[in-house]
Amino acid sequence: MSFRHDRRGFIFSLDATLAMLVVLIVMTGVARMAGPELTYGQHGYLRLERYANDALEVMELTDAMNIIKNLLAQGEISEAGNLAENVLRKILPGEVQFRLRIGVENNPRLDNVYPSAGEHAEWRAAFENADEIAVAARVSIFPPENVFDSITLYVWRGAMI
Amino acid sequence: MNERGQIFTLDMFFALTLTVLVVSYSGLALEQARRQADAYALRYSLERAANDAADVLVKTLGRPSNWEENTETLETLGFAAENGGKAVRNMLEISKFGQLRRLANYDNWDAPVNANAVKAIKEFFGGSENFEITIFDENGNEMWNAWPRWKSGEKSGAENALEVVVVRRSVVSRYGTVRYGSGDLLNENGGRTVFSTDNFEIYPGELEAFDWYVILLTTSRSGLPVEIYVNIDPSPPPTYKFNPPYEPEGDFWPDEHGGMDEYLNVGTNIITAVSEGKKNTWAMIYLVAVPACSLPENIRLALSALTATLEVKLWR
Repeated sequence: MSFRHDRRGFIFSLDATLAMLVVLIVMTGVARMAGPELTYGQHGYLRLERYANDALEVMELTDAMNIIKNLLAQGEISEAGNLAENVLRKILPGEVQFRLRIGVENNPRLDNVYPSAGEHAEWRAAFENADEIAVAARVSIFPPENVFDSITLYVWRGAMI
Repeated sequence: MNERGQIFTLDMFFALTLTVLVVSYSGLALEQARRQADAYALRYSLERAANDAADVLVKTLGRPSNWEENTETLETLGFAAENGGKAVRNMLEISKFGQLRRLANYDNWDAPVNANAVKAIKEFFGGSENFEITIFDENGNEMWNAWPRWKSGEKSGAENALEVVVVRRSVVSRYGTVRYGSGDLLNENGGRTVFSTDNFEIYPGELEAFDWYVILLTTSRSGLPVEIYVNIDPSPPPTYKFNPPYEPEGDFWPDEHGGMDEYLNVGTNIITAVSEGKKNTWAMIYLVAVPACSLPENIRLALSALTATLEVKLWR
Protein backbone atom coordinates (compact mmCIF):
# COMPACT_ATOMS: atom_id res chain seq x y z
CA MET A 1 0.00 0.00 0.00
CA SER A 2 1.35 3.40 -0.91
CA PHE A 3 0.50 6.67 0.78
CA ARG A 4 1.11 8.43 -2.50
CA HIS A 5 -1.78 6.76 -4.36
CA ASP A 6 -4.12 5.87 -1.50
CA ARG A 7 -5.47 8.89 0.23
CA ARG A 8 -7.22 6.95 3.03
CA GLY A 9 -5.50 6.61 6.39
CA PHE A 10 -3.74 3.35 7.15
CA ILE A 11 -5.94 2.68 10.13
CA PHE A 12 -9.06 2.49 7.97
CA SER A 13 -7.68 -0.16 5.64
CA LEU A 14 -9.11 -3.70 5.64
CA ASP A 15 -5.66 -5.15 6.31
CA ALA A 16 -5.24 -3.10 9.46
CA THR A 17 -8.73 -3.99 10.68
CA LEU A 18 -8.04 -7.69 10.19
CA ALA A 19 -4.67 -7.36 11.89
CA MET A 20 -6.32 -5.63 14.84
CA LEU A 21 -8.91 -8.39 15.07
CA VAL A 22 -6.20 -11.03 15.16
CA VAL A 23 -4.31 -9.12 17.86
CA LEU A 24 -7.47 -8.74 19.95
CA ILE A 25 -8.35 -12.43 19.62
CA VAL A 26 -4.85 -13.44 20.71
CA MET A 27 -4.93 -11.06 23.67
CA THR A 28 -8.36 -12.27 24.75
CA GLY A 29 -7.12 -15.84 24.52
CA VAL A 30 -4.09 -15.09 26.67
CA ALA A 31 -6.27 -13.36 29.25
CA ARG A 32 -8.76 -16.24 29.32
CA MET A 33 -5.99 -18.80 29.62
CA ALA A 34 -5.12 -17.47 33.03
CA GLY A 35 -8.70 -17.42 34.30
CA PRO A 36 -9.79 -19.14 37.52
CA GLU A 37 -12.07 -21.57 35.68
CA LEU A 38 -9.01 -23.22 34.13
CA THR A 39 -7.50 -23.77 37.58
CA TYR A 40 -10.76 -25.42 38.65
CA GLY A 41 -10.87 -27.45 35.45
CA GLN A 42 -7.46 -28.89 36.20
CA HIS A 43 -7.84 -29.54 39.92
CA GLY A 44 -11.60 -29.93 40.31
CA TYR A 45 -11.56 -33.16 38.36
CA LEU A 46 -8.51 -34.38 40.25
CA ARG A 47 -10.42 -33.88 43.50
CA LEU A 48 -13.50 -35.66 42.19
CA GLU A 49 -11.38 -38.60 41.10
CA ARG A 50 -9.75 -38.75 44.52
CA TYR A 51 -13.11 -38.56 46.31
CA ALA A 52 -14.21 -41.61 44.33
CA ASN A 53 -11.06 -43.63 44.96
CA ASP A 54 -10.95 -42.68 48.64
CA ALA A 55 -14.57 -43.74 49.07
CA LEU A 56 -13.93 -47.23 47.69
CA GLU A 57 -10.76 -47.52 49.76
CA VAL A 58 -12.56 -46.53 52.97
CA MET A 59 -15.40 -48.95 52.23
CA GLU A 60 -12.82 -51.74 52.01
CA LEU A 61 -10.99 -50.68 55.17
CA THR A 62 -14.14 -50.42 57.29
CA ASP A 63 -15.30 -53.83 56.04
CA ALA A 64 -18.47 -52.25 54.64
CA MET A 65 -17.72 -53.69 51.21
CA ASN A 66 -17.38 -57.21 52.61
CA ILE A 67 -20.74 -56.89 54.35
CA ILE A 68 -22.32 -55.64 51.11
CA LYS A 69 -20.82 -58.55 49.18
CA ASN A 70 -22.15 -61.04 51.73
CA LEU A 71 -25.60 -59.47 51.63
CA LEU A 72 -25.57 -59.76 47.84
CA ALA A 73 -24.51 -63.40 48.13
CA GLN A 74 -27.53 -64.00 50.38
CA GLY A 75 -29.82 -62.33 47.87
CA GLU A 76 -30.54 -59.36 50.10
CA ILE A 77 -30.16 -56.81 47.33
CA SER A 78 -32.23 -54.09 48.97
CA GLU A 79 -30.29 -54.26 52.25
CA ALA A 80 -27.00 -54.18 50.36
CA GLY A 81 -28.16 -51.11 48.45
CA ASN A 82 -29.28 -49.33 51.62
CA LEU A 83 -26.00 -50.05 53.37
CA ALA A 84 -23.95 -48.85 50.39
CA GLU A 85 -26.04 -45.71 50.17
CA ASN A 86 -25.63 -44.89 53.87
CA VAL A 87 -21.90 -45.59 53.91
CA LEU A 88 -21.18 -43.55 50.79
CA ARG A 89 -23.33 -40.67 52.01
CA LYS A 90 -21.19 -40.54 55.17
CA ILE A 91 -17.89 -40.75 53.31
CA LEU A 92 -18.49 -38.30 50.48
CA PRO A 93 -18.98 -34.56 50.94
CA GLY A 94 -22.54 -33.23 50.62
CA GLU A 95 -21.93 -31.53 47.27
CA VAL A 96 -20.64 -34.73 45.69
CA GLN A 97 -23.29 -37.14 44.39
CA PHE A 98 -22.69 -40.74 43.44
CA ARG A 99 -23.86 -43.83 41.64
CA LEU A 100 -22.54 -47.25 42.65
CA ARG A 101 -22.70 -50.32 40.49
CA ILE A 102 -21.44 -53.77 41.40
CA GLY A 103 -21.01 -56.15 38.48
CA VAL A 104 -21.01 -55.61 34.75
CA GLU A 105 -23.21 -52.96 33.12
CA ASN A 106 -25.65 -55.31 31.38
CA ASN A 107 -26.00 -57.77 34.25
CA PRO A 108 -25.14 -56.04 37.54
CA ARG A 109 -25.37 -57.59 40.97
CA LEU A 110 -26.29 -54.18 42.36
CA ASP A 111 -26.92 -50.94 40.49
CA ASN A 112 -28.49 -47.54 40.83
CA VAL A 113 -27.27 -46.88 44.34
CA TYR A 114 -27.74 -43.13 44.59
CA PRO A 115 -27.53 -40.69 47.54
CA SER A 116 -31.24 -41.10 48.32
CA ALA A 117 -33.56 -44.00 47.73
CA GLY A 118 -36.71 -44.05 45.60
CA GLU A 119 -35.90 -41.31 43.10
CA HIS A 120 -33.99 -43.31 40.55
CA ALA A 121 -35.36 -41.50 37.50
CA GLU A 122 -34.31 -38.10 38.84
CA TRP A 123 -30.90 -39.36 39.92
CA ARG A 124 -30.39 -41.11 36.61
CA ALA A 125 -31.13 -37.82 34.83
CA ALA A 126 -28.76 -35.94 37.12
CA PHE A 127 -26.07 -38.53 36.46
CA GLU A 128 -26.52 -38.37 32.70
CA ASN A 129 -26.55 -34.57 32.65
CA ALA A 130 -23.59 -34.07 34.99
CA ASP A 131 -20.90 -31.77 33.60
CA GLU A 132 -18.08 -34.04 34.62
CA ILE A 133 -18.04 -37.47 36.17
CA ALA A 134 -15.11 -39.18 37.86
CA VAL A 135 -15.01 -42.95 38.05
CA ALA A 136 -13.24 -45.28 40.45
CA ALA A 137 -13.26 -49.02 39.94
CA ARG A 138 -12.05 -52.07 41.81
CA VAL A 139 -12.11 -55.76 41.00
CA SER A 140 -13.04 -58.07 43.84
CA ILE A 141 -13.89 -61.69 44.52
CA PHE A 142 -17.57 -62.33 45.17
CA PRO A 143 -19.03 -65.19 47.21
CA PRO A 144 -20.44 -67.78 47.06
CA GLU A 145 -19.05 -68.75 43.64
CA ASN A 146 -15.81 -66.79 44.28
CA VAL A 147 -15.66 -65.13 40.89
CA PHE A 148 -14.13 -61.79 40.00
CA ASP A 149 -16.45 -58.88 39.44
CA SER A 150 -16.12 -55.12 39.26
CA ILE A 151 -17.18 -52.41 41.67
CA THR A 152 -17.67 -49.07 39.93
CA LEU A 153 -18.32 -45.76 41.65
CA TYR A 154 -19.27 -42.68 39.65
CA VAL A 155 -19.17 -39.29 41.36
CA TRP A 156 -20.12 -35.83 40.20
CA ARG A 157 -20.81 -32.41 41.66
CA GLY A 158 -24.43 -31.47 42.04
CA ALA A 159 -27.29 -30.68 44.37
CA MET A 160 -29.13 -33.27 46.44
CA ILE A 161 -32.48 -34.33 45.00
CA MET B 1 -1.86 19.00 -4.76
CA ASN B 2 -1.75 19.80 -1.06
CA GLU B 3 1.51 21.57 -0.25
CA ARG B 4 1.42 20.94 3.54
CA GLY B 5 3.60 18.23 5.02
CA GLN B 6 1.98 14.82 5.27
CA ILE B 7 2.21 14.83 9.04
CA PHE B 8 -0.45 17.53 9.21
CA THR B 9 -3.10 15.60 7.28
CA LEU B 10 -6.25 14.72 9.19
CA ASP B 11 -5.88 11.07 8.23
CA MET B 12 -2.40 10.97 9.65
CA PHE B 13 -3.60 12.66 12.83
CA PHE B 14 -6.34 10.03 13.29
CA ALA B 15 -3.92 7.28 12.46
CA LEU B 16 -1.40 8.48 15.03
CA THR B 17 -4.06 8.92 17.69
CA LEU B 18 -5.38 5.43 17.09
CA THR B 19 -1.89 3.98 17.03
CA VAL B 20 -1.10 5.58 20.38
CA LEU B 21 -4.37 4.25 21.79
CA VAL B 22 -3.75 0.75 20.46
CA VAL B 23 -0.21 0.67 21.79
CA SER B 24 -1.36 1.93 25.20
CA TYR B 25 -4.21 -0.57 25.48
CA SER B 26 -1.99 -3.36 24.22
CA GLY B 27 0.47 -2.56 26.97
CA LEU B 28 -2.30 -2.52 29.56
CA ALA B 29 -3.78 -5.76 28.24
CA LEU B 30 -0.41 -7.46 28.21
CA GLU B 31 0.25 -6.29 31.75
CA GLN B 32 -3.14 -7.64 32.82
CA ALA B 33 -2.48 -10.91 31.02
CA ARG B 34 0.90 -11.18 32.71
CA ARG B 35 -0.64 -10.56 36.12
CA GLN B 36 -3.32 -13.15 35.49
CA ALA B 37 -0.71 -15.62 34.32
CA ASP B 38 1.27 -14.99 37.51
CA ALA B 39 -1.84 -15.40 39.65
CA TYR B 40 -2.69 -18.56 37.77
CA ALA B 41 0.80 -19.96 38.27
CA LEU B 42 0.65 -19.17 42.00
CA ARG B 43 -2.81 -20.63 42.36
CA TYR B 44 -1.83 -23.69 40.35
CA SER B 45 1.25 -24.32 42.48
CA LEU B 46 -0.78 -23.87 45.68
CA GLU B 47 -3.46 -26.28 44.46
CA ARG B 48 -0.85 -28.73 43.32
CA ALA B 49 1.10 -28.52 46.59
CA ALA B 50 -2.06 -29.05 48.68
CA ASN B 51 -3.30 -31.96 46.56
CA ASP B 52 0.08 -33.65 46.48
CA ALA B 53 0.67 -33.12 50.21
CA ALA B 54 -2.71 -34.65 51.09
CA ASP B 55 -2.05 -37.56 48.74
CA VAL B 56 1.36 -38.29 50.23
CA LEU B 57 0.02 -37.99 53.78
CA VAL B 58 -2.76 -40.54 53.33
CA LYS B 59 -0.85 -42.97 51.10
CA THR B 60 2.66 -43.20 52.52
CA LEU B 61 4.38 -44.08 55.76
CA GLY B 62 6.75 -41.14 55.48
CA ARG B 63 10.52 -41.40 55.45
CA PRO B 64 11.87 -43.14 57.41
CA SER B 65 8.81 -45.34 57.72
CA ASN B 66 8.98 -45.26 61.53
CA TRP B 67 9.78 -41.56 61.84
CA GLU B 68 7.32 -41.17 64.69
CA GLU B 69 9.67 -43.19 66.94
CA ASN B 70 12.42 -40.63 66.51
CA THR B 71 11.29 -37.38 64.96
CA GLU B 72 14.88 -36.12 64.63
CA THR B 73 15.21 -38.51 61.69
CA LEU B 74 12.18 -37.15 59.86
CA GLU B 75 12.78 -36.55 56.15
CA THR B 76 9.29 -36.74 54.66
CA LEU B 77 5.90 -36.69 56.34
CA GLY B 78 3.45 -39.55 55.90
CA PHE B 79 0.54 -40.61 58.13
CA ALA B 80 -0.42 -43.99 56.65
CA ALA B 81 -0.57 -46.98 58.96
CA GLU B 82 1.75 -49.89 58.34
CA ASN B 83 0.89 -53.52 57.68
CA GLY B 84 3.65 -55.97 56.86
CA GLY B 85 6.08 -53.19 56.08
CA LYS B 86 3.74 -51.57 53.56
CA ALA B 87 1.55 -48.53 53.86
CA VAL B 88 -2.19 -49.09 54.22
CA ARG B 89 -3.62 -46.42 51.98
CA ASN B 90 -6.21 -44.13 53.58
CA MET B 91 -5.67 -45.65 57.02
CA LEU B 92 -4.18 -43.05 59.37
CA GLU B 93 -1.68 -43.88 62.09
CA ILE B 94 -2.58 -41.45 64.82
CA SER B 95 0.79 -41.77 66.54
CA LYS B 96 2.33 -40.10 63.46
CA PHE B 97 -0.18 -37.29 63.43
CA GLY B 98 0.30 -36.88 67.19
CA GLN B 99 4.04 -36.39 66.72
CA LEU B 100 3.47 -33.79 64.01
CA ARG B 101 1.08 -32.03 66.35
CA ARG B 102 3.71 -32.01 69.08
CA LEU B 103 6.39 -30.65 66.75
CA ALA B 104 4.07 -27.91 65.48
CA ASN B 105 3.10 -26.79 68.96
CA TYR B 106 3.96 -23.22 69.99
CA ASP B 107 6.64 -24.39 72.41
CA ASN B 108 8.32 -26.81 70.02
CA TRP B 109 8.23 -25.33 66.51
CA ASP B 110 11.14 -22.96 67.07
CA ALA B 111 13.08 -25.15 69.50
CA PRO B 112 16.60 -25.90 68.19
CA VAL B 113 16.24 -29.58 69.10
CA ASN B 114 13.44 -29.91 66.53
CA ALA B 115 15.17 -27.90 63.80
CA ASN B 116 15.69 -30.85 61.42
CA ALA B 117 12.15 -32.14 61.76
CA VAL B 118 10.68 -28.65 61.34
CA LYS B 119 12.81 -28.10 58.24
CA ALA B 120 11.52 -31.38 56.78
CA ILE B 121 7.92 -30.42 57.53
CA LYS B 122 8.32 -27.00 55.93
CA GLU B 123 9.93 -28.51 52.84
CA PHE B 124 7.02 -30.91 52.61
CA PHE B 125 4.71 -27.92 52.26
CA GLY B 126 6.88 -26.16 49.69
CA GLY B 127 8.99 -24.28 52.21
CA SER B 128 5.95 -22.55 53.68
CA GLU B 129 4.65 -22.30 57.23
CA ASN B 130 1.18 -21.46 55.96
CA PHE B 131 -0.47 -24.82 56.44
CA GLU B 132 -3.00 -26.43 58.71
CA ILE B 133 -3.95 -30.07 59.07
CA THR B 134 -7.27 -31.03 60.63
CA ILE B 135 -8.95 -34.36 61.25
CA PHE B 136 -12.75 -34.47 61.37
CA ASP B 137 -14.93 -37.35 62.52
CA GLU B 138 -17.63 -38.83 60.29
CA ASN B 139 -20.14 -36.23 61.48
CA GLY B 140 -17.85 -33.37 60.50
CA ASN B 141 -16.79 -32.54 64.06
CA GLU B 142 -13.20 -31.45 64.45
CA MET B 143 -11.13 -33.97 66.39
CA TRP B 144 -7.63 -32.50 66.16
CA ASN B 145 -5.76 -29.90 64.19
CA ALA B 146 -2.22 -28.62 63.96
CA TRP B 147 -0.42 -25.72 62.36
CA PRO B 148 2.97 -24.12 63.01
CA ARG B 149 3.05 -22.64 66.52
CA TRP B 150 -0.49 -23.75 67.26
CA LYS B 151 -1.96 -22.90 70.62
CA SER B 152 -5.16 -24.15 72.15
CA GLY B 153 -8.06 -21.78 71.44
CA GLU B 154 -6.27 -19.88 68.67
CA LYS B 155 -6.69 -19.95 64.89
CA SER B 156 -4.12 -20.62 62.21
CA GLY B 157 -4.62 -17.37 60.28
CA ALA B 158 -5.94 -19.06 57.13
CA GLU B 159 -9.17 -17.11 57.57
CA ASN B 160 -7.31 -13.85 56.83
CA ALA B 161 -5.40 -15.12 53.80
CA LEU B 162 -6.19 -13.85 50.30
CA GLU B 163 -5.89 -17.26 48.74
CA VAL B 164 -6.59 -20.55 50.50
CA VAL B 165 -6.66 -24.07 49.09
CA VAL B 166 -8.46 -26.77 51.04
CA VAL B 167 -8.12 -30.44 50.16
CA ARG B 168 -10.13 -33.11 51.93
CA ARG B 169 -9.45 -36.82 51.85
CA SER B 170 -11.65 -39.58 53.23
CA VAL B 171 -9.72 -41.83 55.57
CA VAL B 172 -10.11 -44.43 58.27
CA SER B 173 -8.65 -43.61 61.64
CA ARG B 174 -8.67 -44.70 65.22
CA TYR B 175 -9.19 -42.17 67.96
CA GLY B 176 -5.82 -43.19 69.33
CA THR B 177 -3.09 -45.72 68.97
CA VAL B 178 -3.12 -48.98 70.94
CA ARG B 179 0.36 -49.34 72.43
CA TYR B 180 -0.35 -52.48 74.42
CA GLY B 181 -3.09 -55.10 74.34
CA SER B 182 -3.15 -57.92 76.85
CA GLY B 183 -5.39 -60.30 74.93
CA ASP B 184 -7.82 -62.45 76.96
CA LEU B 185 -6.73 -62.72 80.60
CA LEU B 186 -8.75 -65.64 81.95
CA ASN B 187 -9.17 -65.99 85.69
CA GLU B 188 -9.81 -69.74 85.76
CA ASN B 189 -9.95 -70.30 89.48
CA GLY B 190 -11.26 -66.99 90.71
CA GLY B 191 -9.70 -64.82 93.40
CA ARG B 192 -6.44 -62.90 93.13
CA THR B 193 -4.62 -63.96 89.94
CA VAL B 194 -1.45 -62.22 88.79
CA PHE B 195 -0.98 -62.35 85.03
CA SER B 196 2.35 -62.17 83.29
CA THR B 197 4.19 -58.88 83.04
CA ASP B 198 4.47 -57.33 79.58
CA ASN B 199 6.57 -54.57 78.05
CA PHE B 200 5.62 -51.62 75.93
CA GLU B 201 7.71 -48.82 74.47
CA ILE B 202 7.29 -45.07 74.70
CA TYR B 203 9.37 -43.14 72.18
CA PRO B 204 10.99 -39.72 72.68
CA GLY B 205 8.42 -36.94 72.61
CA GLU B 206 5.45 -39.25 72.99
CA LEU B 207 4.76 -38.41 76.63
CA GLU B 208 4.25 -34.82 75.53
CA ALA B 209 2.50 -35.64 72.27
CA PHE B 210 -0.12 -37.98 73.74
CA ASP B 211 -2.40 -38.54 76.68
CA TRP B 212 -2.23 -42.11 77.93
CA TYR B 213 -5.13 -44.21 79.16
CA VAL B 214 -5.78 -47.76 80.29
CA ILE B 215 -9.00 -49.32 78.99
CA LEU B 216 -10.46 -52.37 80.69
CA LEU B 217 -12.97 -54.75 79.14
CA THR B 218 -14.39 -57.51 81.33
CA THR B 219 -17.01 -60.24 81.11
CA SER B 220 -19.35 -58.63 83.58
CA ARG B 221 -19.39 -57.21 87.09
CA SER B 222 -18.11 -60.59 88.30
CA GLY B 223 -14.83 -59.92 86.47
CA LEU B 224 -14.01 -57.03 88.79
CA PRO B 225 -11.99 -55.77 90.52
CA VAL B 226 -8.92 -55.62 88.26
CA GLU B 227 -5.67 -54.00 89.34
CA ILE B 228 -3.11 -52.42 87.03
CA TYR B 229 0.56 -52.11 87.96
CA VAL B 230 2.64 -49.84 85.75
CA ASN B 231 6.42 -49.89 86.19
CA ILE B 232 6.10 -51.42 89.68
CA ASP B 233 5.96 -54.94 91.09
CA PRO B 234 2.46 -56.43 91.29
CA SER B 235 1.99 -56.06 95.00
CA PRO B 236 -0.47 -53.59 96.51
CA PRO B 237 -1.03 -50.74 96.31
CA PRO B 238 -1.62 -50.89 92.54
CA THR B 239 -1.15 -48.02 90.12
CA TYR B 240 -4.91 -48.15 89.65
CA LYS B 241 -7.72 -50.47 90.65
CA PHE B 242 -10.85 -50.86 88.52
CA ASN B 243 -13.70 -51.40 90.95
CA PRO B 244 -17.43 -51.88 90.32
CA PRO B 245 -19.71 -50.54 88.92
CA TYR B 246 -19.22 -52.51 85.74
CA GLU B 247 -19.06 -50.50 82.49
CA PRO B 248 -20.43 -52.65 79.63
CA GLU B 249 -18.65 -50.52 77.01
CA GLY B 250 -15.38 -50.72 78.92
CA ASP B 251 -13.96 -48.71 81.78
CA PHE B 252 -10.96 -46.44 81.49
CA TRP B 253 -8.45 -44.62 83.66
CA PRO B 254 -7.53 -41.78 84.26
CA ASP B 255 -10.60 -39.56 84.00
CA GLU B 256 -8.59 -36.52 82.93
CA HIS B 257 -5.94 -36.13 80.28
CA GLY B 258 -2.35 -36.25 81.49
CA GLY B 259 -3.25 -38.28 84.56
CA MET B 260 -0.97 -41.19 83.68
CA ASP B 261 2.16 -39.22 82.83
CA GLU B 262 3.75 -39.59 86.27
CA TYR B 263 3.69 -43.40 86.00
CA LEU B 264 5.32 -43.64 82.56
CA ASN B 265 8.78 -43.03 81.20
CA VAL B 266 10.44 -42.82 77.80
CA GLY B 267 11.82 -46.20 76.76
CA THR B 268 10.67 -49.60 77.97
CA ASN B 269 7.78 -49.69 80.45
CA ILE B 270 6.24 -52.70 82.15
CA ILE B 271 2.62 -53.44 82.93
CA THR B 272 1.01 -56.19 84.98
CA ALA B 273 -2.67 -56.96 85.42
CA VAL B 274 -4.13 -58.66 88.48
CA SER B 275 -7.67 -59.96 88.54
CA GLU B 276 -9.66 -60.37 91.72
CA GLY B 277 -12.76 -61.42 89.84
CA LYS B 278 -14.78 -64.60 90.13
CA LYS B 279 -14.06 -67.96 88.56
CA ASN B 280 -13.94 -68.18 84.73
CA THR B 281 -14.09 -64.45 84.17
CA TRP B 282 -11.87 -62.68 81.70
CA ALA B 283 -10.39 -59.24 81.34
CA MET B 284 -8.71 -57.40 78.48
CA ILE B 285 -6.37 -54.51 79.11
CA TYR B 286 -5.38 -51.90 76.51
CA LEU B 287 -2.95 -49.06 76.89
CA VAL B 288 -3.88 -46.38 74.38
CA ALA B 289 -2.32 -43.06 73.43
CA VAL B 290 -4.47 -40.26 72.04
CA PRO B 291 -3.22 -36.87 70.82
CA ALA B 292 -2.73 -34.55 73.80
CA CYS B 293 -5.80 -32.78 75.19
CA SER B 294 -8.31 -35.09 73.48
CA LEU B 295 -11.69 -35.63 75.11
CA PRO B 296 -11.45 -38.45 77.69
CA GLU B 297 -15.04 -39.59 77.02
CA ASN B 298 -13.98 -40.59 73.49
CA ILE B 299 -11.09 -42.78 74.61
CA ARG B 300 -12.93 -46.04 74.04
CA LEU B 301 -13.19 -45.11 70.34
CA ALA B 302 -9.45 -45.84 70.14
CA LEU B 303 -10.31 -49.52 69.90
CA SER B 304 -12.32 -49.27 66.69
CA ALA B 305 -11.67 -47.91 63.22
CA LEU B 306 -13.67 -44.78 62.37
CA THR B 307 -14.47 -43.06 59.12
CA ALA B 308 -12.83 -39.64 59.19
CA THR B 309 -11.68 -36.80 56.96
CA LEU B 310 -8.18 -35.42 56.71
CA GLU B 311 -8.13 -31.78 55.66
CA VAL B 312 -5.01 -30.04 54.37
CA LYS B 313 -5.19 -26.27 54.13
CA LEU B 314 -2.53 -24.17 52.42
CA TRP B 315 -2.60 -20.43 51.93
CA ARG B 316 -0.68 -17.36 50.85
